[in-house]
Amino acid sequence: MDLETTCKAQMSYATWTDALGRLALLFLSIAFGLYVFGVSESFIPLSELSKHWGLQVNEYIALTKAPTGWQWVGFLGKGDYQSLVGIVLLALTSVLALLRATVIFLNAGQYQRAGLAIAQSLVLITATSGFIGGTH
Amino acid sequence: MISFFLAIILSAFATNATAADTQPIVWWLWPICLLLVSFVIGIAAVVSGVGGGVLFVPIVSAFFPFHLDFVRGAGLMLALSGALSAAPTLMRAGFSSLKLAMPFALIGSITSFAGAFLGLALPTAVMQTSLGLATMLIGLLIWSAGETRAGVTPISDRLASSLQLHGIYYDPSVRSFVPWRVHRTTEGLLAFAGIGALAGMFGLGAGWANVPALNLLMGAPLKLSVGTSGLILSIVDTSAAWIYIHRGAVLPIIVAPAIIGAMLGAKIGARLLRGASSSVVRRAVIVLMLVAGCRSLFRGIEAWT
Repeated sequence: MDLETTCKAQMSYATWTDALGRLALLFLSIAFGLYVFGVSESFIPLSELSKHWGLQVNEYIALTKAPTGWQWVGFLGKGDYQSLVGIVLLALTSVLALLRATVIFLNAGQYQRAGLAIAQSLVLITATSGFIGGTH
Repeated sequence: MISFFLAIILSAFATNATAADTQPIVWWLWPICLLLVSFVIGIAAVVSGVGGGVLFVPIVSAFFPFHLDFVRGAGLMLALSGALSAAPTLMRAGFSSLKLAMPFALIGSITSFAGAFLGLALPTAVMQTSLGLATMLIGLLIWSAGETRAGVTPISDRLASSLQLHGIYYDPSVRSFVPWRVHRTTEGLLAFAGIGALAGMFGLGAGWANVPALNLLMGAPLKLSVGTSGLILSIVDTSAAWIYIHRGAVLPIIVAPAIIGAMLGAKIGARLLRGASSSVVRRAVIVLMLVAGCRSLFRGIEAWT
């Protein structure tokens, strides 16, 4: 029972990771191509970006007024933040796969494993939210 | 290797230029160089077994004009993308264990979160100097450790038993089922706490440390250690990556070429693995890490003065 549930959770984790990872890379490749070839309008012009990418991130943000936290969602019309969607999807992959595995552990009554998975999910959700360590 | 050295030469000519001196017409040269360098890193990482994540930040921060903050953000995303690409195959084959990974990924993700937060708060000079020292130390550790080895299946300690850290997987190379257990679980948790902090602070991949921790310290079989290392890395790096994303330290112009180049390189590296001498490539990679580490150290000292 324990082995069966663990296998099921692991296979589910693998499936979600595979699907979300591929989707993220596909999105990143397409969006970045449109961005770098100038098809999408940029928040910061590419020719200007090279003047600032040598700055420390706080200086960069202060100078360019680039969004931080989740504010970038309001700039999805810009190519740089469309590309960021693919990057964010990559970063969300583990979170979502883990939540799926958590549900499987809970349904099977494997509370020790579910507890670990919930604790891990909480750490990743906290990081994702930007509530601690991010900017608001 | 030709494209790699071309990229290094081009970047070396421009390294002393300030960001403000970079002409608009030249801006596109850097992402192209980064794509090429990441491609070679992807090949070298697979052939040498060192790992792309630990190579990217020292090399790119030493030879490219991007600030260390953006390089570290890109390094985490590069390591994450590589781990996520490999994880499904390894999990389905049984070479990666979710139940083995979870306790160590949990502690590592907490410390990597803190490490990322600290790394972005510290002055650049401190981070650059520390990165240089860390890179050289890691290079020397990899050199001295050599290849990790499979060992005798240990007897589980009390913590490992309570967490049910044991299992079995089928190894087609030996055509048999391989049971596994681990010991020194407390020491393992402490090791992964330290590894996570380093990964978050410096944006390095942690495979170079995860595998020895699982295999040499805790006694997990080598193949299981390699597979589970990637799974742990994907969770640990996710935690740190979000700090960089929220702080604005993840630039697509750097991250996208890095990820695309490394993934293409890894595919080529997998094909070259049969014929290439992994020990020769490994030594070359370690030498490059020492050179990049020295350069980071000097840049850090320059920043201090």
